[in-house]
Parts: sequence; structure tokens; C-alpha cells
Amino acid sequence: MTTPVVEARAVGRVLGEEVKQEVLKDVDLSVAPGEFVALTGHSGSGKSTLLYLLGILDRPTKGSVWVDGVDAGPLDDDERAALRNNKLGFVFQFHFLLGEFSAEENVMIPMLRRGVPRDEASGRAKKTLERLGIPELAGRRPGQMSGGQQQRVSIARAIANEPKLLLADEPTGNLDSVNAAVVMELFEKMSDDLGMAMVMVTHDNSFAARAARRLVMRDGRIVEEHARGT
Amino acid sequence: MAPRLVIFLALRQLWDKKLLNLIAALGVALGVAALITMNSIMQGFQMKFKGEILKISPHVTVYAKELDTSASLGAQWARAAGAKGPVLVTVAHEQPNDRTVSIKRPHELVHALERMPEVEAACRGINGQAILSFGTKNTGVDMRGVDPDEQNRCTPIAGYVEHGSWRAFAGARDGVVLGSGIAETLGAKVGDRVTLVAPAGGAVTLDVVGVFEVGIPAVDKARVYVNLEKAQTVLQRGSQIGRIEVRLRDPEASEPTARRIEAVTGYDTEGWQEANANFLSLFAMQNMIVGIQIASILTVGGFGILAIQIMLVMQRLKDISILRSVGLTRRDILFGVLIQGCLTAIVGGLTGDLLGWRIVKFLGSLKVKSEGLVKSSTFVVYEDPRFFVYGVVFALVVGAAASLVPAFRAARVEPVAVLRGQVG
Ligand SMILES: Nc1ncnc2c1ncn2[C@@H]1O[C@H](COP(=O)(O)OP(=O)(O)OP(=O)(O)O)[C@@H](O)[C@H]1O
Ligand SMILES: [Mg+2]
Repeated sequence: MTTPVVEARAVGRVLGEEVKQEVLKDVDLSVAPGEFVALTGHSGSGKSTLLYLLGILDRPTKGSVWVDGVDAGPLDDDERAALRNNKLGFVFQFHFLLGEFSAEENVMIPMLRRGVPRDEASGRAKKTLERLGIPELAGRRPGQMSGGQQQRVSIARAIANEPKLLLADEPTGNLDSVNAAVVMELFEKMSDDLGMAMVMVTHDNSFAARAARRLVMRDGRIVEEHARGT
Repeated sequence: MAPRLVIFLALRQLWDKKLLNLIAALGVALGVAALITMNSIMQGFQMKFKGEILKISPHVTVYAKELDTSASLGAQWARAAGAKGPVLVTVAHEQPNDRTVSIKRPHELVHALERMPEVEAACRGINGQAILSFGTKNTGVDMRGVDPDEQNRCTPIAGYVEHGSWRAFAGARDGVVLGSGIAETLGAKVGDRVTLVAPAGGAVTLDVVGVFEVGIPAVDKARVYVNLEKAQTVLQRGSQIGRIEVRLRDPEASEPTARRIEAVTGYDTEGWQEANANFLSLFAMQNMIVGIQIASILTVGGFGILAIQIMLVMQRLKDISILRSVGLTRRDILFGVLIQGCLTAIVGGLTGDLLGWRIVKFLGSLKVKSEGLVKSSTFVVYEDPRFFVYGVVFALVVGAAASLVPAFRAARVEPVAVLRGQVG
């Protein structure tokens, strides 16, 4: 059996300071390399919380998260940052780009952090933007782009570093249906082209149906699991 | 850490908020400009003052006052006796040493002093108060009885003689050299005949052979130089010597050398630093006060950087979260803010240097007549390149200190908290 790119083992997460709430309860999840997993569920069911844990941005209250065969629990802050930099890509619901940098520079930052030389990072950033159909945006700042364009740039940033796992939290949530479909297709294409695994939170059932696996969450648990076509 | 990326990010963020950061930098610039201006003025004045003092003051003066050694012997006796129980206290009056007002065998002492390696020259003298009359005018003077050649080696006065000459004084037993202020008061010129009378009763008639001006009103308005014998006559002191003045190779070493001479000769001595201790300690106090003021201005400048960097960090919580999520470490974020704060401060420091330099140049060109402690026709400023270096160094220290708080605030950001929307 191959090593899962990410694995959650009996993960629990309690949130809140005064009123503690068990937001995740004993979640087990394993994502194989190249696999496309869709995460659905009602608002407040814990999807984003789980995604942050899988992306080792957050630490679980219980259980453990393994990335590419490594237990992230004992790692310190710097090691976790390096792991994110080397293995993971994020796309957030609100296409977070750095407003003071051009599209190309935004895409370059994770590569530069990894030590990729500037020229090479720039070349790869341009190529990735081209692949996403927006080469003309390279020199533009986020303030001069539409929402859909910004979201595509943030996808470029997430994949240019060629992560093993892409984590996306409602990446189409802020887009109109045409743009949403375009972004969705891009994800599938990237996943196929680069052999990248993907966990995507989505409210859109038609998108979720295209995933290899579709998980449904309710009250902090994964309550249903569907393979494609079922 | 990824230094190149961090520098790239920091520079861009700094540049993008250049107006805000420039305002913060200006606060620092004002502090640095104040530092440079105040130091130039104070050092200028203080160095001018010291220079003037050293021009004509002896570095060390040996007074005709023996140190009270017998008293300590008496005290020893009393102690020794006291140990054995109560004894009668001797009430015989001690010879008051102050009454010994002349230096014994002054020639030998001068030669002995000149053999000391620290000493460049030594000269004999006798001082006293006298009244100088010219025509119907009188004025009180500080009379200095000197050997002209000897004196000129100790305190090079010859160069300050503006009318007549010191050489003429050396050649004329009946000559007198007047301070310019006295010459003005009396209306006396070179060639005029004046009378010198001391309260003790002696009187001599002298020819004005020179008028000097050293630029210290207190000296120019009070001092006259006459030959040793004339002073002795006026003061009715026979051939006594009242003091020996000493010039050192290193004027800054006046205190230890003075103490050494004191120990060797048994006479009371005073270095120029001690003699001017009131001024020098005033300067030290002045320097401290100005130092505190400058530190306050720089601190206020630092708070400008702190406030603006904190504000920018709070504005950039989302940016910081993104950077952390794509793999930047807390240290990357910390240094990013520190670099911005320090660069702001350096820009402020350099601007302050420029500003300070212009102000100092301007002040230096001002024609200001001053007749206080020293006479001067311009604003005395002292331009020391070190002030400019200090300016930038202090600015940098202030900038680094000021950006510590925002830097740690930025490094503490929890990306998940921001992404969840709890913060920012
Ligand atoms: N800081 C917090 N303190 C306490 N409870 C929190 C906090 N943040 C989130 N929660 C709770 O955690 C639960 C899960 O939140 P999460 O954001 O994971 O839901 P979600 O499935 O992503 O919802 P949505 O579809 O609206 O994005 C919610 O019930 C929410 O109220
Ligand atoms: Mg969510």
C-alpha cells in the first residue's frame, strides 16, 4: 500500500474559550496520492476546521495528523512551516493574495521560500499562469483583477510549487457559475496533470459529484462517504 | 530563514507605505538633526572655551603655599598619646603655613620641574592687585610680574600682542603690556606713560610697550604684565616669587601631573582643569541635559515608528497569515518587520544628518557677536564627522528597539485565527 499524502487519525478539535465546543469528533481520513476528495456538509459542520488540521495550520486537540508518512504532532513551528512549504498548497475561499505584489510575485513567494532561484521561480510562475489561461495578468496587482482572476492566481500560487496535496476551502464560493466551472475544470486538469491529491470543501453538489470520493460531514463527524457515481 | 525573500517582501511593503513610513522617519530625523546641531554648538563652544583657556593659562600652577605636613604629625602624636589614655592637649599654636607666601629657591625649583618628562616649561611669577593710572583715569588691574622670555614659553602670550610687541617688553625693564580692555578704559596707547600703585604702598612709572587681546573678556579687561622686579617693588616683596607656572606636553594630563608635583615639591598645586572646574563641571552638566533632551526626541521618534509599524502589522494580518500558510516561519515574519523599522530609522537618520549638516552650516555662517565667556564674532560650531555616524547609529538603535514590539506582534499571528475570522 502506498503512503497516504495525508492522514487524520481519530482527530478531535475543541474550539472556543469560554464556551468550549467539540467541533471535530474522532475523524479518521486518509487521502491517497493523486486522489480527489470532496468535503461537503452543512455550514458549521466542521469542514474548514478539518481542512486547517489537514494542512497543519492548526493543531488537533486529540488524535494525530500525518503528512506523507510524517506525524506532524511533534514537529515545531518551523518544521511545520517547512512541511507546508514543501508538500502543501492552499486555496482559500476568499482569494487571499498579497495586495502589494504582482500576480507573478504572489505565485513566486512559496517557491522563493523553498530556495528556488529567482529566475527559475519567475519562469515557473509565468508558466503556471499561462496554464491557467491568465498569462496577461502576470504583472498586475490583485487590486486590478476581477474576483475570478484573483482566484485563478491564488490557484497558481498553490500549485506552482508542485505540492503533493492541494487543500481548497470553497474555492468557487465567491465566483459566478461560469467562472466556478472554469476553476473546477482547472482543478481537475491540474490534479490529473501533476498527480496532485486534492481535498476540496464545496457546497456545490455537481462539483462534489466529480470527485473520486465525496465525504459528508455533520456535527463534527464524517457521516457519509460516496465513491464516484454512487 | 529565507533572508532574500524576507528582504524582498520587507522592501516592497515599506515602499508601498512610503508616505506613512516617511512620516515616522521624519520623527527620527528631527532627533538626529537635534543631536548633530546641539552637539556641534556645545562642542564648538566648549572647545573654543578650553582652547582660549589653554592659550594663556598655565597648565599647572605651583602656589607659594606649603602643604600642612606638621599638622598631620601633630595629629599622629595626639593619636599615639590618645591610645594610652587621656592626655593634656597641646594648645601651642601651630605656625600658620599660609603665612609662607613665597617660594624658596625658585630657580632650582624651575630647573627641577623642567627636568620632569611631562613638563615642557616652567616660569616664575608674582601676582597682585594694583591700580593703574593714566592721566586722570584709574582702573584696578590684575598685575602679573613675569620674566618676559620665561613667561612666553609657559603661556605663549607674544602672539596675542596686537600693538607693540612682547619683544619690546622683554627689552624694556620699565615696560608694561596691557590687556586691550584696560587700554581702552584708560585710553592708553603704546608709548604712553602709566603709573602702577599697589594698596600696600609701592608705586612705579611704566611705559606701555604692548597691548594684547586673547579674546577672553575676563582677561583682556583685567590683566597687565610687568617685569618681575617691578611687581616685587610695587608689592614690596623684595625678591620673592609668589608662584611658578608650568606648561605640560599633554594639557589633558594636568591633574595627575599636578598631584605629582605637589608630592615632590610640597607646594600646593592646581591644574587648569581644577582651576576651571566650575566651568568644566557646568559643561558636563550641560552635556548631560542636552543628552537627555536628544534621547527624549529620539524616543518620541521611535514611538512614531512603533505606532506606524503596529498599525501596518494590524492591517496586514491576512497577508501575514497567507505568508505563514505558504511556509514562512515566525522568524521570517519577525525579521520582515524589524527590517522595515530599521530601514525607516536609517532613512530618518540620514535625513537627520543632512538636516543637521545644513543647520550647522547655517549657524556657522551667522555673524553673532558674543562677549560672554569668550569673545567671538561668529557662532562657534564644531563639525565632527563622528556626530553624523552617531546620528545614524542612534537612529538604528531606536528603530530596532521601536520595531521589536510590532515585529513580535506580527510573529505571534496565528494564521488559523485570522482565517477563521476571529482576528482582522
Ligand atoms: N473560534 C471559535 N470558537 C468556537 N467555535 C468556533 C470557532 N470557530 C468556529 N467555531 C465553530 O466550529 C464549528 C465548525 O466551524 P467550521 O468553520 O469548521 O465550519 P464549516 O463546516 O467550515 O462551515 P461553513 O460551511 O460555514 O464554512 C462551527 O459550529 C463554528 O461555530
Ligand atoms: Mg468553512
